[in-house]
Amino acid sequence: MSNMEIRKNKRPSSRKPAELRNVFFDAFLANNIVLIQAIGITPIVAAGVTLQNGVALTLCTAAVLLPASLFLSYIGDRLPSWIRAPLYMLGAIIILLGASILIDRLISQQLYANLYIFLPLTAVNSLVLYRAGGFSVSHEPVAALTEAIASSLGFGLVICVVSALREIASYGTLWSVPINSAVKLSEAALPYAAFLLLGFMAAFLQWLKTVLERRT
Amino acid sequence: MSKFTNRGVFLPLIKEPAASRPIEDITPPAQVVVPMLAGDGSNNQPVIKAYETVLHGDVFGQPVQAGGCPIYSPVTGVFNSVRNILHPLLGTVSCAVLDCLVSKGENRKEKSVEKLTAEEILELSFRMGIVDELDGILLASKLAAGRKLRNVILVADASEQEPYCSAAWSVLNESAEKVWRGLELAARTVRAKKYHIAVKLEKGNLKNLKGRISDNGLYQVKGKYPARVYSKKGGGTVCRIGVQACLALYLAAATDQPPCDCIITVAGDAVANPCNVRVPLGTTVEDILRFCGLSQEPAYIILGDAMTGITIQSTDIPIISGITCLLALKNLPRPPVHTCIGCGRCVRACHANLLPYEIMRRLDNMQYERLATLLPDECDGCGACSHVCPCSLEVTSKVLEAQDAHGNIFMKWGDGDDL
Amino acid sequence: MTYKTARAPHLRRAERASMMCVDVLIALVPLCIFSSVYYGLRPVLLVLTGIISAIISETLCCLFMRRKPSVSDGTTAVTGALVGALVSPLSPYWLPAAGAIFAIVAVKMPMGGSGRNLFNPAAAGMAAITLCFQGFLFTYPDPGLGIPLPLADNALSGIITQSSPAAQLAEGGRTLYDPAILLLGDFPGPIGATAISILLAIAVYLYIRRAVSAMIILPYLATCAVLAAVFPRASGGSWLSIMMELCSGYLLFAGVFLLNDPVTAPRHWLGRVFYGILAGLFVMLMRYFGRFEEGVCFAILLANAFSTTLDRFGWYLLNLKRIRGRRRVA
Repeated sequence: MSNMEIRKNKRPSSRKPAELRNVFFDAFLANNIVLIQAIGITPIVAAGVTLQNGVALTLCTAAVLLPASLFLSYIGDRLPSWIRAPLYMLGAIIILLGASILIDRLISQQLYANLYIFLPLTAVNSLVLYRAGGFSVSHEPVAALTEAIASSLGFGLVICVVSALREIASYGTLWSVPINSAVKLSEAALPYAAFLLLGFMAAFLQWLKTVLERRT
Repeated sequence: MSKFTNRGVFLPLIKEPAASRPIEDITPPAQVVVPMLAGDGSNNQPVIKAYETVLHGDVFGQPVQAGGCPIYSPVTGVFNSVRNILHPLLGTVSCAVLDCLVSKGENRKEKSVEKLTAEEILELSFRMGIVDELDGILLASKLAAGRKLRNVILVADASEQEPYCSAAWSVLNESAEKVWRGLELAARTVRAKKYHIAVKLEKGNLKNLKGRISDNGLYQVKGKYPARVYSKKGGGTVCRIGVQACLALYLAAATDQPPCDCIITVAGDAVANPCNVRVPLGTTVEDILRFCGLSQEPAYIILGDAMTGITIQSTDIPIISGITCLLALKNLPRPPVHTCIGCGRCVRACHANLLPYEIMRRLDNMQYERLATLLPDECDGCGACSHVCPCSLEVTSKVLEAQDAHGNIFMKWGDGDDL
Repeated sequence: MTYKTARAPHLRRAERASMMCVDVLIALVPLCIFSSVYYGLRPVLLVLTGIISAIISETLCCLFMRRKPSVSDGTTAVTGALVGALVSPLSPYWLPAAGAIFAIVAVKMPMGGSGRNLFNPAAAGMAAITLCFQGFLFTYPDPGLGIPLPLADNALSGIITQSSPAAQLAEGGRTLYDPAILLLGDFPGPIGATAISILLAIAVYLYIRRAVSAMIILPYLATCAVLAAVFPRASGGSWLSIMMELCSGYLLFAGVFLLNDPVTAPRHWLGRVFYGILAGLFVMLMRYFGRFEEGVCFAILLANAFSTTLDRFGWYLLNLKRIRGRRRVA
């Protein structure tokens, strides 16, 4: 769609609360970023090992996704399409620079070391490129913002559940608080456990969707 | 080809006791049902009016459009009525019902057939409407197609590799010389250098038969079902016809009589008296089963032999020339149905070197655009793949369905991926 | 009256799908007997634990998924038995149970149940317990013990263990086993995988019963032998290296039982040849560069990923002329 068409077809009614609610739940659950659309699996599998990592990655993704969505929604239709991705990445890198300094100096050096390369990789996470570039450009800023928040929350939900489970299983702690669990599988920190967990969670979500669809 | 490498299956042969009994003539049925569809597919109309008598072998129906084959009356009888019947092999067809008076014709003297030319024989076979019993195709069209080929091997296929049928053997047993002369006539028509009768017999029967025809006239078929009926040495294209068609051709040439009856094997565990019967064309299945007697109530009635036959639901279907076997079965033991376990037995059984399980899988998953690469058109429906499947899946019918899908414009038949 | 309908052909072989599984289970019996001669009743109980936990988890999964329980086709029991036969005789009872439950619940049922799994469930179960519990899996008891192993789990400490040929190969250097001993099976290893001569006899039996394919086993063993001869880990010549590699760990067991799983193996003979070669290649790579002393299960999972493509590729290669001819006409 050319920029002119996008500007003309921006839905004017996407400020209604009902429609916003639809957008929210669609991006959060029904078309969950990770479980249904299968975008953004890499950070979960590789770095979602402890709950702290999970929360940190969610916040970074949100910090990158929200401004990008707003920016693209306001100005994206005026820019040629080939410049959207590099521009957004530039912005993301700047934001993540700030975020990494924040985490390293002010929050916890250990956390920064644990996140390893996946903190800067959020800049090029397909999640953001796909959703921001796709949804935000053709919708009103409010809708785009809602969708960005919903996507981040969806991502955050999945990564937090997976990392919490993996932390309990492999290290026996939750947010660095030791829990006495009977089963200790140190290999749950390996990627294969995350893939299996994601598979079962996706199946569960699909089942939930069919049950809810049958009700309505 | 060694037993280990050639593909196919060993079938259990259940030809006794029908094969060792002589051909029996059926008691004349009360009515015969003659389809008004000639061998070449042309619609015919009766030339006589209702309640008129027609003699055995006389012209009974003329083609509606000029240039078709006429239909001959198989019995001497009274034209009763016209009925529409859904025949499993012909479709919905209007049939003339004749009340039968005398079912046999008179014996005529045989005259010499040496002087007939190829064109005369071809025209004779077309005019008499002789239909090949192997596949129900008009013999004249097969011979005409054979004339266009070079280096034809003409085979009268009496190999009968399917389990029950022994009609061709009984025909050979009774009148091998006449079959051989008919084959010679057909060979003259297609200008074939090599022609033989393909058989699959035990040593005693083979020797006996060899004594009656020339030594090179018989070819013993070896190997698994479905085996080749000719020798690959020397090359050539094969043209297969049936022995009853050869016999009919000879009788048509020698006595000017059209084929009025055919020989059918009636077998199965529900039949009291399995045998080969000579029935006038148009006899209903019910009359045949009543003649042979049913020892128990059958659950399945099959037109055709066990590997390629079709089940019929009612017994008022008339017999036409393309049928050589009638089965009445009470038990049809099959293993319990299961999803495909991938044992690969169907691949080993397929003599056309196809992948039956993959065709079935792609058809079930509706990936029609990927069916072309698997070459389902090469399948001839022999049934070997379903025979060996331990999960009792309908592999053969799925492959044949894929063949049909080829012509269906609603299914996107295209160049899917290469693999 | 109306008669029933059926589709051609009307004559079918009486062999059922579960016959192949019954043959495999019968084939495992001599291996269990052999192991129980050395170690008492414990190996048999471990195999039975595998079978029972597989059956229970499959029944529960079928109930949960609301489909008919499909235990009667035998594939579940075979999966459980194979996982049970691949653990050490010294392992606790929950180890084969965990492997069998993982195999059924995470690998077989989510893919669609029997006949539809993409990966060999027994190999996947072994992969899971190799990753998570390698300590329990790879401690083997000394075959010269002479007394049967205790049946209870808590009495296991204090049994003398010995490193298996696979472990010695992984460490490198001189090996302590002589080929005659290897063939007789007098060395530590998994329950079903040490009796080499019995395994070869079983392979012949299963080949006659059409449950395994020579087109998979022979290329597989040939590839492993060639790689073992060219890149020996054991010192002492290439013949010794071939014997050691082929008889250590569960390479031969996998070649007879795991690779021939009909659902995951190719069906066309050329595809099977490629599959055997690829599996042999992966097995030897896992042995040379892998982290564990026996990485056959991972190699089998990798080969399973390629099996459908190899199948069609093999057929395609042989029928190239026909397909191209058809394309030109169409």
